[in-house]
Amino acid sequence: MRYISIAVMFLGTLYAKGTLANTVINNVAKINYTLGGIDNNITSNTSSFVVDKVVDIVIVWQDNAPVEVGASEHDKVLKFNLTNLGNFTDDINLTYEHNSTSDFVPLNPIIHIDSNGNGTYDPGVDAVLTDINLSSDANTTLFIVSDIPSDANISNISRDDIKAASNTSATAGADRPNQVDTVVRKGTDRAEGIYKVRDYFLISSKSAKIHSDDNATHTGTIITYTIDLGIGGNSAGKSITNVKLKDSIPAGTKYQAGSLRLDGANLSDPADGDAGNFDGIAVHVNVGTISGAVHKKVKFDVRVQ
Amino acid sequence: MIKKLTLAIAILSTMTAVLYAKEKPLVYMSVASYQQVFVKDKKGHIKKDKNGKPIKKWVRATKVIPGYIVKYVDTIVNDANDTLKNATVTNPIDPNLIFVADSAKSDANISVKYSVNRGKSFDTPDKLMVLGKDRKMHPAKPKDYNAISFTIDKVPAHSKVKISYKVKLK
Repeated sequence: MRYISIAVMFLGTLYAKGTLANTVINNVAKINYTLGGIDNNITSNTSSFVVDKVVDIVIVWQDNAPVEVGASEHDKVLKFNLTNLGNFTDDINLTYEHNSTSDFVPLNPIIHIDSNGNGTYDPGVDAVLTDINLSSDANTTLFIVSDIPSDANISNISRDDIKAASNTSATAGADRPNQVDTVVRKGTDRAEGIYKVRDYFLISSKSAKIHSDDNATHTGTIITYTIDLGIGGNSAGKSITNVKLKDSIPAGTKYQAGSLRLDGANLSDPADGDAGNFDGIAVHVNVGTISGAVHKKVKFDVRVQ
Repeated sequence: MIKKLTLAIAILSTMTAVLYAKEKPLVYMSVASYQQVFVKDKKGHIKKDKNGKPIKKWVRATKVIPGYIVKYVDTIVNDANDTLKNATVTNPIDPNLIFVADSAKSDANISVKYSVNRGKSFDTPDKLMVLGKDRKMHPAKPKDYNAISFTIDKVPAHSKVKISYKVKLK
């Protein structure tokens, strides 16, 4: 079990700060008066009460819309915000829950905390946790990080929750004089995030043009490979970003230096400032963003050995 | 014999002085805090009046939940044979408390003033200003009050006056 104490949280709070539990509130009055022609002043007794403990936690899903995912994708993130509206540092247990009405079940769901407070899930940085000590009025960002199964179909959704439950119970039974009681306003809260499998997806096709008179391959024959990348499904207005291509050179062939192209533009072979390179085994092209009905083409030549 | 008599007189005098010192003062004041609770029957159910409304009562506040209202009652007792005049009672308002507007009451004629500078000066609400986050002066609101002052014309001999006001625990 990972256990993390957070004294000062990263984000401001939307809520007014309540008086901390166990705070003693005193009141001493003073009076100035005239009696028998003589001015006097006295002070009263001290009237005191102590502030009870209040348990009050709230968790909210932060993504504005279902998080679009694709089948077999890894580390897909749902974002939540947990706030301790209570008036003491509360020990809160966090549990992942999957809504059984979903179309598919995410794989390896794990709750992480936004350890570096940047609002974004950072693999290897944002710690896994199941319990958190959250200061009064503090809040923190949490993530559910899951993999999407290969059999998730287009437009399928998965509903996935974080259940936050205070480990502090309400004071039971009769009033206990001289002891602070605990009142539970909201001891358990649950927020549900949604993954939705995109109704559009990356499509690719690879073709080969053999440069020989008989359209057969012989030693020394040049083959031009073309890899066509586009968006399938409901592509209108959609984009797929950060598309990267890796294609290994077929056995028995040799890459032709300087032949790598992206949409007709030459790319140099070294791994330098442009979008492509050949590493001796495969070509690598940072295709970037593919939008709507526009396709991108990667070409390169090999010679049959 | 004379020595013993002198010693007895000295002890008696001391006891008298102690007794005198412990006598109730002629004028004194107390402060008490109260909070409202539902009246319950023996089974723990909230009692209701004939209109179906829950019955509440004020009880001494020893433990309070944030967001709840606390009523303070100042009791000024004048056991002297003279009338107490020109009385001014001041109560600080703890930073964890918010004054409830128009909640000051008394069974005597009183005038009420408030302070936004921890009791250094008092005035009526229409004359109180506070510095806003925009660095401009704005009319003070009840949440800005941090002390309250009551002026009582007189407390007749052998009588008492009660003053109450309400605050909300942040």
